[in-house]
Amino acid sequence: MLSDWLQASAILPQADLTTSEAAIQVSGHLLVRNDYADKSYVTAMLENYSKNGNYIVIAPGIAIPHAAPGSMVHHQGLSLVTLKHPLNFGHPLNDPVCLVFGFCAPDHEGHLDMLMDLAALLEQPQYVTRIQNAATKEEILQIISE
Amino acid sequence: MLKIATVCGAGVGSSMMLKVFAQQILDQKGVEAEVTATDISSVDPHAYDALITASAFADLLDPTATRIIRIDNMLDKIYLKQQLEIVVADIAGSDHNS
Repeated sequence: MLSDWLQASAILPQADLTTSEAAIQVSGHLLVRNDYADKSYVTAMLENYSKNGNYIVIAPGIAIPHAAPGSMVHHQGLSLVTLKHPLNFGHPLNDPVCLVFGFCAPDHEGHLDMLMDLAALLEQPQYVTRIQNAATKEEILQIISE
Repeated sequence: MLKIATVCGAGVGSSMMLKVFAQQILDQKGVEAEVTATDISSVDPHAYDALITASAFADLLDPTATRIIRIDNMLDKIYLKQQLEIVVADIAGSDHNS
């Protein structure tokens, strides 16, 4: 379940942000704060976004900013920033984004269970809407533990 | 054995999701296939029967090199299944002719 991977300390609900870069940065800082990755990983996430662009918006309203695996990653980890005001990430079909799941992985395969648990939740639109509307971390943790 | 690659920017996020979904769909259909996750800077399109990727990367790939499935909603498994069925049929057809 996603609740195995997403800790309260890595969730920021209803963030009042104005740019896609800020949203990526905040999702990255949550990974750093939980000691999943070094600060330099946040820079790498922003570089991946500026170089490869909008593909991190994997479905309508959902972005998964990340960077390539490497020594700046300590453990696999996941963070969630929900946006008070949906933001454009430059995706022709999936904008605007309201859920930003930052993640990091030390290698290419080890985090597969985490990613699949995330996908299993996001495939259900009713959960996406509820997470989007949740006002507190506790509410979000409740939804992902169901 | 079909060779299919999923392509993204870092080879760790969307390409891994698409790899698992595509492999599940092909296994269920009984199609022998190996699906590999890779990234846009290292992929050799000629090495695969088909690629699966986001539109932003599809635009960067040579459309004559191999079959390309574009997917913008990566959680839409029904769309992915339809596209894979088209590609599998196309590959079967071209094998038959050759």
